[in-house]
Amino acid sequence: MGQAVTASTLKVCASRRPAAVPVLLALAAITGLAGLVGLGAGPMRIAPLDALQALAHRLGFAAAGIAEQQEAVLFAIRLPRVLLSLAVGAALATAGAAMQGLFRNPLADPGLIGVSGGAALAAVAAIVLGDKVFHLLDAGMRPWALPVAAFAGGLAATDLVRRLGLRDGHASIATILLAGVAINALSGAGIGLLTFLADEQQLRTLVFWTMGSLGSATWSTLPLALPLIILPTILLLRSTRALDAFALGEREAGHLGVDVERLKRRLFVLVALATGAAVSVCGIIGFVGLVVPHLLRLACGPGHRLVLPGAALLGGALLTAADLAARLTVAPAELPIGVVTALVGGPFFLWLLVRRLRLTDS
Amino acid sequence: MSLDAQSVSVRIGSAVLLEDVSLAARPGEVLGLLGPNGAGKSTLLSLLAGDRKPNAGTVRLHGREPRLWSPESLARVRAVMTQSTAVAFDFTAREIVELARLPHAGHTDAAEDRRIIAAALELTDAAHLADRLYPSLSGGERQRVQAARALAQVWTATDDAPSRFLMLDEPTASLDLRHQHTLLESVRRFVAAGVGAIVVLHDINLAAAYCDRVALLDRGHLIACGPTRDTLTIDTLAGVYGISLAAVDDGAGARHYFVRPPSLSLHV
Repeated sequence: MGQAVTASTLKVCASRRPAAVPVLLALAAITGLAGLVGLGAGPMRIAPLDALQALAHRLGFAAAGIAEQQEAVLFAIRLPRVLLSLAVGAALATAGAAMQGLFRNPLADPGLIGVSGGAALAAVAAIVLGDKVFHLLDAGMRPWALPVAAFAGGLAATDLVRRLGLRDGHASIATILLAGVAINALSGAGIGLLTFLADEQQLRTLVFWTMGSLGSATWSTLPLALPLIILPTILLLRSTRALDAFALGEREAGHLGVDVERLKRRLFVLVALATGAAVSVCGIIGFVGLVVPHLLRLACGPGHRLVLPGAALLGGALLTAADLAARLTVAPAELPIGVVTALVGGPFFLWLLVRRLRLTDS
Repeated sequence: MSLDAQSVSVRIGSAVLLEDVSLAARPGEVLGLLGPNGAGKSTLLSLLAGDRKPNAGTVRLHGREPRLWSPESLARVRAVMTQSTAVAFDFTAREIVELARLPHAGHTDAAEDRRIIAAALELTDAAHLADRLYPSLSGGERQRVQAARALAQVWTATDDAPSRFLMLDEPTASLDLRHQHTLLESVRRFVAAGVGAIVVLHDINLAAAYCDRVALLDRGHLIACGPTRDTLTIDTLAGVYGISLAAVDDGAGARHYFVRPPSLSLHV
């Protein structure tokens, strides 16, 4: 009897887990390829290899291979945009994976802790009410007003959610979840009110911001935005083993030597920083944080040593691909990238839910 | 004394979970914690594990309060198996046991860790489950995997302290008869190697068979604590559990307890 292998016992066995290093190398290759394709595609086409040679030339490794005009488009327009999509995709996916580990729930999302809601409310407020304030600013500062407001709004909302979840120095995950839902609902109400107050021009800006766009990528914003997005993402990658232990439960992780309160504080701050910085530059881009970690868990198992860095790489690749679709499908116009990720991510998410229900039923 | 609680009390609001309890666990023996539901057994275990601070009194592990230890060195000295066996995400059983070696990173090599993980799974009769996805396991199978994790965590001696402790909260709750005994046999093997074990049990016969000493708790108070046979007297048990019992010595040195069903003893 013990030897009988039925279909159901086969299904519950993990197929051999792939080794981390080859998977990450393959993902890095995919990400690099997505970046090169992203550099090349558009009204002026540049072959991926030419784009690679131009990059090498700029770094001093190879001879110039493409026309001056192509090079100008490549470096002035495409490169900042691709760098931004790689960084934002990596940040959103890694933050999503970390949130799912922290909440011990595969359906958690960085938005749960209020960061996107708060950022959106502040951004919309800046768009609608900003004219009355921003004319006081120096002309050179004005492009920064929106992202700075969004970043501050995101962090403020997250801090509020965290304070609501604190009791005797102990952060209650369940209370944080509920507080996040409430803060998001309040932000939604505030956004609704401001939308009602907005004029035509403001409405257009507002709608584009809440649906996400990588169009803001320029060399003037990137030097500040990129480190703010990338640094917390890299720091998140250092909590992989602690997140594995967290899957057993908070107390149990503590028994394994994880400083649980410190881990929660750390993840909270890093996720808020990474997501806040990403959202403040690009607006709301949904589903990346949800779908990318899922794909990795399905393919490679739930170990965070692979899921977190894998999510960073795959998130960057997928967002670059999504941006490609946003730029090319209705060219010369541009789809909001949040619409693209939702169009692809939404059905995928539903499929996951249905699949989960089936698994728990059987 | 290497792990002792002195006059510890725990209150949450006006509810008293533990009141002025003193007891010590020693390396090389199994200490059983017994008592009715809500007696404070798990609360006492969480104090000894360092999960929480008592409102009054002190807990000392090798002379130091648990929260003065670094979390990692504390984890190398004591392992805890709680009643919670839920795990988020589809880890395999082996991956769950691998987590036991987390606090030992940098102290043991990977080959040694693999050997310990395999041996621990073997000891709780869970080796054949190693590649199964944990969420697909039955309650008893999960409990064996969690027990293997606790054992693997304190498998070898550590430089951090002279002795290790194993704390198990109702480890036999979902186990079948054979696995109840094989698990507690494994605990005895650890104890023979110098580990101190603290085990919450509901089955008086298991306590009688495997515990060197027992502590009987009732509504937050320590009723009795001492060598198993002297402490588990019919009168004490009747007082604590509110049920009538009989005991029989089998002549081979073991004592067996029988419960008289309440409907027969309560003179309704």
